[in-house]
Amino acid sequence: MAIPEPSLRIVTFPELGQTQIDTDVVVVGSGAGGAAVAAELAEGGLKVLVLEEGPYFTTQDFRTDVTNVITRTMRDAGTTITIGRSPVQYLEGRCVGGTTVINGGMCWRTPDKVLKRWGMEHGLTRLTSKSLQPLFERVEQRISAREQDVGTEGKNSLVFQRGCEKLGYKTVRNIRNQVHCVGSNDCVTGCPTGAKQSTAHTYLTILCRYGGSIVTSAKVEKIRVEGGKATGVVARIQNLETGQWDKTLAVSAKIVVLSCGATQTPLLLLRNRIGNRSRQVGRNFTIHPNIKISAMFDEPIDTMRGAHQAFQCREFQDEGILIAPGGVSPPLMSVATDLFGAEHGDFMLKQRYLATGGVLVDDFAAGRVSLGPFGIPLVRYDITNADQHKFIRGAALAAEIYLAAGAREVYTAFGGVGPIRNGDDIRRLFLYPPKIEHTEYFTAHLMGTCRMDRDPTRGVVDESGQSHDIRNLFVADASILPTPIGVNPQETIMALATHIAGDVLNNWKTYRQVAA
Amino acid sequence: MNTTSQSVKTAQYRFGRFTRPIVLAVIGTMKPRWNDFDPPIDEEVCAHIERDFSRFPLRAKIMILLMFHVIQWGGPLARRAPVPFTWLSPDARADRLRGLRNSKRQLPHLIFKALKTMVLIVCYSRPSVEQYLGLVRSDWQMSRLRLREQLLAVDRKRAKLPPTPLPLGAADTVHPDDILQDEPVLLPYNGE
Repeated sequence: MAIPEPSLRIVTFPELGQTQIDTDVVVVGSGAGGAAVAAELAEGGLKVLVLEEGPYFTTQDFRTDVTNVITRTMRDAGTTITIGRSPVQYLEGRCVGGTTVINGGMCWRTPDKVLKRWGMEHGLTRLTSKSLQPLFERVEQRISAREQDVGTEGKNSLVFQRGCEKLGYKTVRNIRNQVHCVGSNDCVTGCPTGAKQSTAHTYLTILCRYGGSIVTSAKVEKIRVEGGKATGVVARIQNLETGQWDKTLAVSAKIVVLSCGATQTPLLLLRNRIGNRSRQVGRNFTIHPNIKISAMFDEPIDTMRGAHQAFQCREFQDEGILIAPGGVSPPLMSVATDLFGAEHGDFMLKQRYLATGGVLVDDFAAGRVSLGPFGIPLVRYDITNADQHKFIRGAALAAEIYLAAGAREVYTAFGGVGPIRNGDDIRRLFLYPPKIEHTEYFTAHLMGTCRMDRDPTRGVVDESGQSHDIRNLFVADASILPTPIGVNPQETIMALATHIAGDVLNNWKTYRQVAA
Repeated sequence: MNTTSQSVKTAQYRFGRFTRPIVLAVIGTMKPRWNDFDPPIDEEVCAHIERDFSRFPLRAKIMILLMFHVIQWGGPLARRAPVPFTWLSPDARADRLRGLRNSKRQLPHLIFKALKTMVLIVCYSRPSVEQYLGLVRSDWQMSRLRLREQLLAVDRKRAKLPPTPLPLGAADTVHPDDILQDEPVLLPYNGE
């Protein structure tokens, strides 16, 4: 028996005979937001077309070498980086399923305190825990959010949990969108067993079941606006034979939904010079940054064998610090140290004994996504001193956890800081705080940039996800989150997209009249 | 319904005659080696870096080419070494890279990190290196795949599960195909 592949209706060059398509709704992007809104609208009876910039990959495509997957599935072949005090590498999926294809699959509901803050500070009074509960349940059902099967967690997660238990720190079992994840630990380079339920396996399958289609290798360049309302988009289509973006597809739609992610949605709006009367497009950019931590044990850990992340330490969530194990395959682990040559060979001989994890912090910083000279995208983000203090505290706590679990040495992402072996070394972190410029950061949780706010002068979209400036233009992706949420954002994005789809369905008559 | 994968067909890219020797010299210096095994993977790794390079956006390509030539000519230009990188002995090349790694300035350190990432990930994906370390990733993936096939087969034999959302953490699982077989459940959306 073979692992089933998702059943999708995918259209691309040269099968795409038309250059003009009419539809009810065009959704730009097929990630967490785009796929969810598209599937819900299609199920609600609307004619939906999804345009995805990247190509489609099957589960089998992920059974190859690491760089082959990274360079094909990620934006800019995985070379995306922020500019600022210390550059932060960030990852965005650029394929059918978007970042859900290359994320860890963590599913957490938006914390209640965050929703209350959205209500108080941004006037989003309809987004309460109570009103969102059915939507969260619906999302969790759709994407098969559940705990890891017992026995497949892997030692990398289990030693972390052991350390937390010894110190009395609260841990939770991760909820992930997976069906029988068997711990191949390749989440970040595409699930080779098909266990992770990316949107290609879930929402997009539902979309196609209800008559929707996905056009791949379609890069939207223009949003058509007539009389203050969005009327469609124009996309360039890539010829997969030649690699040239040599065909144009015009899509007329009653509603346009942008779901290109927290960097690409603001760039698309800025390039089209629309929807920015508030001057907030591209601003309020937060990234929920993280640093890597690794620990050497006397017992074999074999991080390659087990779930990417089976637990999270939630003891310090109120301080904005999340600590978690994070297993990666040996090729990715090889960049965890600054050694090379024979020294690196010796290090990797010991890698079976190495546990890996990370510290994520709720960031105070607000970066900006903008257009530079010649239209070059500029993604600026500066880690603040306050965030760095949290990272230092988080790294110290992670070191305590791993040392309590029996680690001999703990390594941090702080340049110039040696291995941590005991309490003296931990105290030294606070006495001589590592500089931001000497710290390696990483993220896959980009948010903000088109924030949702009831006030048109403070936000880009209203509580229904509709642009304050352009009627029938919606945004449904991570860019609408008004503040950092402190947990993995996938489920929040999907729940908000479901909320937006619900509003569109409830008010479809109005939107159709506006379009006419 | 289409379930075949897609990717752009591109010809194998090759670095130019001035750049390739620099790339090979960096690979030769950075690649892992052990007392009893010096993997002969330099050309193989270079070919993979060339494949990856061909997929990078133009600005990244320019930066990477510049980076290799900074490695090559940085020493003579900064009057820190009399000869280019490729002319140096293996030990001297390693010293030059250590200089970048230990630099207090951000740019040299970033160049080192970029080189390290490009070279080492590919090195540790080579079958000969995986076999030496006893961690053949493809074998591990296949064993997991077989296990998952067995688990799914067990699921299919189970009684049909209810269409409503399962409580989080429930031991039973529902396969997406089973969900799709059920009638769609439309929520009563409340606009206001």
